[in-house]
Amino acid sequence: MKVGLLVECGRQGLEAVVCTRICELLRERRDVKFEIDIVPMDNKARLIQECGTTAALLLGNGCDRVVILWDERPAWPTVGDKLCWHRDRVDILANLHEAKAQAAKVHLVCIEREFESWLLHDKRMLACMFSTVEHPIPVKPPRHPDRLPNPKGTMTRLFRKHGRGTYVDVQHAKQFTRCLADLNGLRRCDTFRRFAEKVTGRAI
Amino acid sequence: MIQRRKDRTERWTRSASGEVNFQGERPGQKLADHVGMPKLSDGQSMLKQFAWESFKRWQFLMLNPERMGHPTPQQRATSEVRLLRDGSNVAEYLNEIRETDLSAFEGILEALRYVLPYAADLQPSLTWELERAFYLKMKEGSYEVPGWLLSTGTLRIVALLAALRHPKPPPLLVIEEIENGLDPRTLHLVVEEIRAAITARTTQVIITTHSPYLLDLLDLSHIVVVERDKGQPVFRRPDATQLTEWSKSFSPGRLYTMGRLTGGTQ
Repeated sequence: MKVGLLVECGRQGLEAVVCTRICELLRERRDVKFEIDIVPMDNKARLIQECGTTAALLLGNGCDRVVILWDERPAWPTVGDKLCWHRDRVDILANLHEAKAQAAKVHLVCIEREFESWLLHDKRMLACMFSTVEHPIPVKPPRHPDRLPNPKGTMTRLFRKHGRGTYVDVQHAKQFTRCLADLNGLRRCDTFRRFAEKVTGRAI
Repeated sequence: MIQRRKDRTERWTRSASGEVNFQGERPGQKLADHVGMPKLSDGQSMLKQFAWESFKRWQFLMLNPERMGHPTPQQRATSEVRLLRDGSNVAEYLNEIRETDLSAFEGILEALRYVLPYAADLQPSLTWELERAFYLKMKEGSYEVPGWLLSTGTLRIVALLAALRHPKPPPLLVIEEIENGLDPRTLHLVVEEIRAAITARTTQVIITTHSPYLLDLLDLSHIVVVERDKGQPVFRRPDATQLTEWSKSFSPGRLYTMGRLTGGTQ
């Protein structure tokens, strides 16, 4: 099975790099054989505007299904902006319809707030990020990361607190993948479970 | 002089002897007094005195990689090294960061490795001749690549990271044609670095660009279009209400190439 995945980051951005690792772990865990073809769409606006054509091309190139993954929170949020994944969904569906992509094979997954909410669910991964062999650091992430208004800000604060300087997602993406040993933390997150189900075709 | 900010009020007062006092207040909380600020002579403007302190730390960059790769004489007269407009003293600037805040320097190196995974170390070095000059070296495995052999993009990203990650960043950083010499992946990093700097509220950043790709990584509300109107440069913000429908279908970069960003409010 070949799965196409549209993400809103740039080439080797956070979502593209971490989702590659997540798919490796899904293959190990679920014993499902699938290949993943990740298309970074650069930003959310472009993802919404060009998802139809890209999904149609991926399906035409042999993908059995396409998953579109995006953040509820915009890259540059303004104070008082009301988040609404439903509005994004309507726009994406309209674009898919316009591009005549086979809607039944395209699945939408909106992350509540943003991608960092997934990462904040895995305290073992975070502890590994901030620890050294000589100095292991237990990390206490927030209780409900998907309810945080600004997960990126929370991650930035965690980085500062543990002396890791400035958090820049593209720069730290590879370190996240090195520390992501399993999916036990992430699977506590509703939107992650939906993502895993849509990618593998089976509930996690 | 009273400055009302969102979360606090700052009062600057001058006593009869010319001494300036600072007092800050937040609603329900009084901030500490800072007495003993410099004395101002009669007629000397408080605004000029204190605003100038901020203005003179503003940084304008128009990077010239040709000059950045070569050794430049050490600045001896000033206590604080500032990155020159053309970035030619980037080696000395990095050296100062390394000496004042090693973790900030390591952060720069770590970010640089995202762009150049083969970069083992960055070494600002000082020559031993009579006229001492700083120059840049990059370690790549067992090789040391001198600054003049580094690519223009590498030199530019080094200077940008140093400016954005300086432990005491300037209150305002203005960067000319930021996208020059940078590949799309590195541009993403630069935008993320800018985002980190401004969300930390340490600095404000103004960049000029002609790159539709870079505009796509920003929000429409960040963009100011500069055009000539009857021979005079005019700064306009794109009219968001007029572009509501257009921005649903096209990204800011595409709107720029389609000529839709013009004609907003001045």
